[in-house]
Amino acid sequence: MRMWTIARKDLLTLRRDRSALVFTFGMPIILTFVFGSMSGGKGDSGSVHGLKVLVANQDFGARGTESIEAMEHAGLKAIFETGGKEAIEKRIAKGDFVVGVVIPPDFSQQFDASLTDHNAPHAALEMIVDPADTRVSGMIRSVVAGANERLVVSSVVKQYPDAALALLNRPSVDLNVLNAKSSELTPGDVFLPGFMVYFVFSLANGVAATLLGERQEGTLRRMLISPVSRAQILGGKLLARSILGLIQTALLVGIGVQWLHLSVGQAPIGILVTAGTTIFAACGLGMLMATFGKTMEQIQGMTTMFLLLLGFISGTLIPRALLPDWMVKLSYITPHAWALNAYQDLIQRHHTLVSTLPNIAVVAAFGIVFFSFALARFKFE
Amino acid sequence: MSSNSQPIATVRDLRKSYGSLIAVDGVSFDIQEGEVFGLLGPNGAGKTTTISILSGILPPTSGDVSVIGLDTKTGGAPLRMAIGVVPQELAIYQKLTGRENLQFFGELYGIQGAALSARVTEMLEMVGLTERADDRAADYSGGMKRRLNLAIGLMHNPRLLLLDEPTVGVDPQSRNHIFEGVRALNKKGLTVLYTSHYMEEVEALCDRVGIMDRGKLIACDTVAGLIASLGGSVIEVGVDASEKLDQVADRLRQMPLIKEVELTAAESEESETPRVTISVRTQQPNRVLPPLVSELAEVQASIHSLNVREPNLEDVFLTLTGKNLRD
Repeated sequence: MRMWTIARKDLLTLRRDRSALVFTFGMPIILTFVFGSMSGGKGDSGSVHGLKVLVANQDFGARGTESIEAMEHAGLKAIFETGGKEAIEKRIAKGDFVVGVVIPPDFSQQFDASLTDHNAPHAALEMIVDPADTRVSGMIRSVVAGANERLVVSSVVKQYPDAALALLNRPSVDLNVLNAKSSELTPGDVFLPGFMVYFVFSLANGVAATLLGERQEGTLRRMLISPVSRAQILGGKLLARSILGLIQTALLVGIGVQWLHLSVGQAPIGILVTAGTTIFAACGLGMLMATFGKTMEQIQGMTTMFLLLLGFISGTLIPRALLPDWMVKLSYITPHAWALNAYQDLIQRHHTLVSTLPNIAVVAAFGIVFFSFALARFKFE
Repeated sequence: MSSNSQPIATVRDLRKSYGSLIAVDGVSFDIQEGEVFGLLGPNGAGKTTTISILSGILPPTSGDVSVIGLDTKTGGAPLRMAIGVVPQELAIYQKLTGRENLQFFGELYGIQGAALSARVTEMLEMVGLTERADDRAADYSGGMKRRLNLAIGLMHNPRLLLLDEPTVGVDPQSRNHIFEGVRALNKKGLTVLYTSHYMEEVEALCDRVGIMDRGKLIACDTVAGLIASLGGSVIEVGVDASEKLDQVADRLRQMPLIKEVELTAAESEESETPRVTISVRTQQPNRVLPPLVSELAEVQASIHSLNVREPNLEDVFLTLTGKNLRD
């Protein structure tokens, strides 16, 4: 009951703080609209220079290598995977890569056969893409297709001048795109998971500010003098921020469904669980950050910069596929990355809540660690 | 004072240190039920630390502190319900109205429903904020905020009210409101611990006074008792500042009838020349006055005022510590 009294007071205080309201609810909505409108979620433009493609070259001939060279010539960076298709699928599912290409053992044989025999089956590459990142995978897909077409044309022109004209009329390397059943992601599917994580973590700023503000103004001391435990005070504050976080997430999901065609059909409970866990971790982070500053100015400057930094390195603001390798690895030290994984599993990969529970568990673990350190460090007096 | 001589709070050999800094050093006193007990001392004397320990939110380094017979370290909810605290800072929510502030803190003490509404109305009337009850505290004047600060500490009808410098930065009207409120509450039986570095406030309000300096309680008695311990009168002479006044003071200190001599800078709106007040404490002002005037005449000091008065708590503090309360 007393916890609810504290939560209600916090919500009433926030309701009268227009700038905080704008930041908590207005900014996420505006940014979602802006980014959602800017991209159709299809992502077929932009530079591919340096984008990484996992390649498993099982070809016994030379054409496989030539295909890889053509892709690299087009600006892609081939990362070789010796474990075959299964290993590529695992690494993509983990989120380390967006696209993988498997060059089958008979690629050269079929490639060369198709140059002289128009009835021979086309050489085919298997492309495995992460449905969670259609923007980048779409770009890479186009480049791989284009690179192989150039390979075909140059080979034909060099070695089989007679066949060149005929070959130019049809593709001789097919791209069999796998894992693409949900590749038609909407702008909501593409942008909202990152935004839902980033903006919920921005609650940490509010948690830090309210704790420090109450300590500075003496109201925290006043609450401590009353028959209210420290756990109840913190619980009340957590409750208030949880309500805010859930409203914020609900607003984003509502807008996503209404205007950006967000797909939540199979995952509403999963989204709720992920949101709740993320809010818990965000509040823990906010409380921990409150222990590092002495003044409100220090706290607000520090948390704003820190949260922005976490947003960038975690992949919530920039797709992880566009980050350098070391930063992708680094992203997993942030709770954001795991929460993002959970949302992407649920919304983009159509996983079940159970199958993404490991991600949610990591987010919860971050929250527990944050709260533990914060409680050990926070000076109520 | 409506004392029935039962201590409501007992402090024994209280010490509180932060590393090498000793904030409270071996303080002992009792607060009798029904009295207004004052803690007088300059900033940094240890008054607020003592109040924090009494209210149970700060553990002592050593010593025993109890309120209504309960140890402040283990007293829990019954202890907290018995104590009301009005902190030195304005511990109110600026974005909430006066009424909402009172409701919130009332609820924390378990007051609900009709009882809460009635208590809020009563407190608003007591501190004269009824008409502004539904305005945000941020729009209140400094004095109104102080009054709201006081009302919050009284919401749960405590037995012991700890008032920590409640009149800092307060206009005269609000100060009177606070004084009248404290007196009225005390008449109804509320025990009050009142800390201040304003000697006049403590003299006007308190039945007994403890004087603190540098963490120690250096005297504790009724106001009359403390003043009587000094005895005599204080002669104050206002003169133009001069280098020779130090020599005059030294000579006066040699006189057997004079207990204490002090020179303090005095402000004057009438003259641009710096002025000094010479304060001389003596049991026999009639016999000291002629040689004092004679000494001043000898150094050709220009006398602007002459006053003989009874000693006050400021003089007590000066005698005990060798410095003024506001130094």
